[in-house]
Amino acid sequence: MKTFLKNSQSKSDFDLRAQFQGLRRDVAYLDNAATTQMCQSAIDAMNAYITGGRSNVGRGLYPIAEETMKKYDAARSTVANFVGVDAGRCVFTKSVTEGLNAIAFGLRERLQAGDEILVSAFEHHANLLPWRRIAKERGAIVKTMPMLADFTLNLDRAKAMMNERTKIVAVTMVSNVLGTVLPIADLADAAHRVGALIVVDAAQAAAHLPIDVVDLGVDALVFGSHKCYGPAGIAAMILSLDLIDSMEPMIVGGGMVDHVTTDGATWRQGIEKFEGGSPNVEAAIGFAAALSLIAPPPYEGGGRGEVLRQRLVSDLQSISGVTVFDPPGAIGIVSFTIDGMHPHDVADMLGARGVCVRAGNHCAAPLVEKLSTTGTLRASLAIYTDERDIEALVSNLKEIVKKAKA
Amino acid sequence: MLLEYENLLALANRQSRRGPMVDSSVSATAVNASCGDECTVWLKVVDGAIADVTFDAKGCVISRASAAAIADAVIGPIGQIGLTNGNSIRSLLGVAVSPLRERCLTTPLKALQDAISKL
Repeated sequence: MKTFLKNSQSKSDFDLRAQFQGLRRDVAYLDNAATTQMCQSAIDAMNAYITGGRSNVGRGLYPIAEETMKKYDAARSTVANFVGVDAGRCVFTKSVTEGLNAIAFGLRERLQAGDEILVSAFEHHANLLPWRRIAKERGAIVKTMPMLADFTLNLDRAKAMMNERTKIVAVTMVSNVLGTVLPIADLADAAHRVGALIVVDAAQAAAHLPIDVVDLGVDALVFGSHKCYGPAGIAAMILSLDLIDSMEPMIVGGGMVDHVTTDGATWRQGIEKFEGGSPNVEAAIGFAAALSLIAPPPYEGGGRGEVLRQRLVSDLQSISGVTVFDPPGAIGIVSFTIDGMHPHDVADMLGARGVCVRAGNHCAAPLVEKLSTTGTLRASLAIYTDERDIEALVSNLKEIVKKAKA
Repeated sequence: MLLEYENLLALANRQSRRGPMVDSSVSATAVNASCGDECTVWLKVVDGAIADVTFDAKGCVISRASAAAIADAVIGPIGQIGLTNGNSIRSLLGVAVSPLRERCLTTPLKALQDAISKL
């Protein structure tokens, strides 16, 4: 598995942590699957745009507006190129959740009663609830591709579930609970063989894995900025040209209309159709700058990211009463539970000691309920995570567990 | 923080007033879906006053300690129950529970309020 985390070893000639002002030495920040710290290049790019004079896009007819349009277009190209497509396939949304909802909305009229939507057992609610809602509206059925005992996808079963009734396969690329990497290319191939579309939630993948939408063969893919060292409030919804032409926009209003009459309206062509309202230009600029920090990746093997994760897994496993969920090939995320201790209590105590982890169901309740009745603790790594962060988590956890059992 | 948890742990694990009440006047259950806390409260009400209370709390230390503290505090006229929000439970517990744990803290209170609203 080639990951950006591995790649960070090649950046040893400069202090990577210095690129992140938000990193505090007295805090071990291990909640990167929720939000990463923002890199300095993103902050600088947004600051330069804002302090240099800003405007709306697609409205003003003055030089600053022209400059803004150029910067917005350039940001879109950078973000699109990051996943191997050109700007004409990249729609900005406010979040991955909004992007997935927009895709579900746009595809709903393709569904008829009895049609099937396949999701995986690993889905975040953002890639589950939109499909359940349109299935209910259209009389379609949502089915779940199951997980194996080793916490990976049962690909054989998933393929066997696809048939002529399957219209959409909606799947995450990396589990936000377990770090499991799903076989997207295989699923895309299988989906297309039965005439289904494949929609990918790449929220957890984009900061860790190389993504080439064309190579993967997916019809739609969404990933966000704030998990990739950029600002919050913006994500990229990558669509096939067919979907751009055929999908109805979820949001209508200013900026996306072609012609409005007293009793009707027509939409603009291409991606503009999906960007109703004034766009978040500064966030787009920051998003692009952040991606420039981690792309293009040389994808060297044997780097520190995998070593750190494996060390974390083995150190946690050495603590009495700790159960670690460690799927083969997982990246960036380690979920675990502690016998007799509620995850929220442990996360609260770790937080008071300067160790930031997440606890609960991680917005993936159907998956987490299979792992634990009370949720899990989750430590998630980033490009700037180092041995001191791992040591801080493990040593404090040992102390907390020891005192609790005394 | 750990010391506060240690103090709360004894209260959270206390067995008095635990379990269903056979001759209760009313009961209600509240759930904190974000972390799986669940609390059921049974009340015996006589002449507008809570004569007895039991509870069953599953979940984190905060929610279980909150349930125990509330059970200790509500015996008496319903109109004189002064528990209205998380801060009033913080006062009962005597610890500075983070606002991030507000739902843990208030799930037992929600069960109590739901039970009273059924009367």
